[in-house]
Amino acid sequence: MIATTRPVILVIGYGNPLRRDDGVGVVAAEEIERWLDPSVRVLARVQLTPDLAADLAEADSAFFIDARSSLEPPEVRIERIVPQAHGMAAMDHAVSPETLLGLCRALYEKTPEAYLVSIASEDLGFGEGLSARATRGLAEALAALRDQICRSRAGEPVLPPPCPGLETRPSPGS
Amino acid sequence: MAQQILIDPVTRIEGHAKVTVQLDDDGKVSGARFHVAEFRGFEKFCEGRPLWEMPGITARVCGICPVSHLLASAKAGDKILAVNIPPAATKLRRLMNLGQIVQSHALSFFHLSGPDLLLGMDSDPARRNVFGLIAAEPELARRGIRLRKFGQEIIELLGGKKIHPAWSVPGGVRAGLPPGGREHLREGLPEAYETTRLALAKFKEIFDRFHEEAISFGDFASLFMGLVNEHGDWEHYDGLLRFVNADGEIVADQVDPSHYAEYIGEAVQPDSYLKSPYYKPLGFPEGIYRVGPLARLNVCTHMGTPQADQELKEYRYRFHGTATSSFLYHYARLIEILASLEHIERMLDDPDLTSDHLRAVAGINRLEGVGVSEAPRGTLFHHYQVDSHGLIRRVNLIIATGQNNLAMNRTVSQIASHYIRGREIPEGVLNRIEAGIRAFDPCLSCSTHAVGAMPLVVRLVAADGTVLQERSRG
Repeated sequence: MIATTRPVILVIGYGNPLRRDDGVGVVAAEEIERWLDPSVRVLARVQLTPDLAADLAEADSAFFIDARSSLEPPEVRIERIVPQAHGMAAMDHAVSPETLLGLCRALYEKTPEAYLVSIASEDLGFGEGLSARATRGLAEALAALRDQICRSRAGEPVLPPPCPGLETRPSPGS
Repeated sequence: MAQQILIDPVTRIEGHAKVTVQLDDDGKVSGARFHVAEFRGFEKFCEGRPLWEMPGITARVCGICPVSHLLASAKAGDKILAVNIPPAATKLRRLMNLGQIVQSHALSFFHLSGPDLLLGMDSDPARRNVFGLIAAEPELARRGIRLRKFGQEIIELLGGKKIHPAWSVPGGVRAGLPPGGREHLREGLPEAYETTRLALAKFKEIFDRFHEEAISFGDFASLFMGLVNEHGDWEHYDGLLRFVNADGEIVADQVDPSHYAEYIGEAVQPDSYLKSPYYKPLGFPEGIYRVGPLARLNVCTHMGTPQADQELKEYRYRFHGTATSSFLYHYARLIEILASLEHIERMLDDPDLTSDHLRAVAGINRLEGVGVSEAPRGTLFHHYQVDSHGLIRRVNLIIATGQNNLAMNRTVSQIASHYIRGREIPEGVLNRIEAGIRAFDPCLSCSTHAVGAMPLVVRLVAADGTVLQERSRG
């Protein structure tokens, strides 16, 4: 069957822009929003919260963009993520992308194809602006995302695993 | 030049909330303390920044309640500019705060505490989470999400979809309600009301199962503080401070929030980065007080709207006037959602919501200002001192969760004393300690101005200091 409607792509960049590299996801989301691509819906958040499950339910594919605390390469990692049914942390209002997908599935019985784009960060101190490393990672991530989004929009699969730089992330806690 | 700090080892997990339960020589609980091991940095970080940036900066203290900081910060700025902001701007700020209360309380009830309340404190931990709730009550869970989204939509309609709406600024706000906003919110109100009434009915239905929790989850005499309007009614944005005691007697009233320091002292505890505010006239720690929904319902004379007033009447009848159990924060939260919806509905016909007269423009006219508003979790104070150029010299933030610190400690101590027998922490007790803290709906990132996940560690310590058991969650 040939799809007659354009796939909806959701991009969620999250983190705190006042904690330097922690905000790289937000910076990425704001840049993607400037692309003015009507098939891409962009959200920027400090944390992932349960109500985003409703936004995910309306999407065909989703990209989460976040900082990754790491002194090791690669600068950018793109991992397929799958829903999980673990609850929220004890004292925290935030959920992980996997739990959010799990909420989406539990509530709406569907989930988009989802990926986590994590950008290596080295400075999470108080302040604004990205480190040189996060800046390089951001540029790389944006280039990769532009390609991925084009594929999603064309109804092509996002590069299937195994693929260099593309992995399936093991569920946290496993 | 800004200094960069490299955190080594690099980690996103910055700390944890820890509970230490102390046993005496007889193995009985002699005390319990709730510590937050987090670094506070925002107050220092703000020094030297222009006043105009403060709403945007402080809104990023926390991802859950940015609006609360945005409003309190802007109000501190109003004081420093020495302006009366346009009436339309006041109404729009109020509307945003009401949206914030709805979305935050909905998250707390349906997602954070809902599993405890609706599935039971002793239910299987593997299922006693939001997924278990969805399996048991799918429609209620979906409604809870939509109720939160309704509150969020108010914030987005006013502030735009930017991550931190730099919408409320010293002197007023940047924009009114956009075209179609009024109609969109009116469409969402019926379901929001229905969900809130369903949740209230559900809570009343299940409340009798939680008799033991109601008497052990922080049921003690304390003062309560909140804002009230000129009639003594429930207030969330402006007004004056009122303190009442556990018998419902007013101990201080019509207090100008700018004079908070005459009434509120802040004690620093050696084992926690969370400050412990207390009511100064009674000293520390006797001046323990609570803020937030439980306190606001205790201090107000009326809610000021018909449905919420009816609920308040029933609530006070059930609990003989002043509710002292922290378990009742859950109930109070639902009544506040109802009041917020009624206030939102009333406001939607006001033509000022689309006015163009939204800002008072002025320079620095005072070197100090205090902005106060009721965040969902309780009264929030932003106190700034600036130089003649409007650069911040000093910041003091008194956060709602911090004001409940002493009460959270007392609650944890009470739960531990009530439930721990022997030298182990059973699973059900760990649940209840967590649930007791969760009744306050604490925002620990906010109160310590930090980010990251916040796991809970509970440690049982013998009289000689030996750690007998440690359990962690999250």
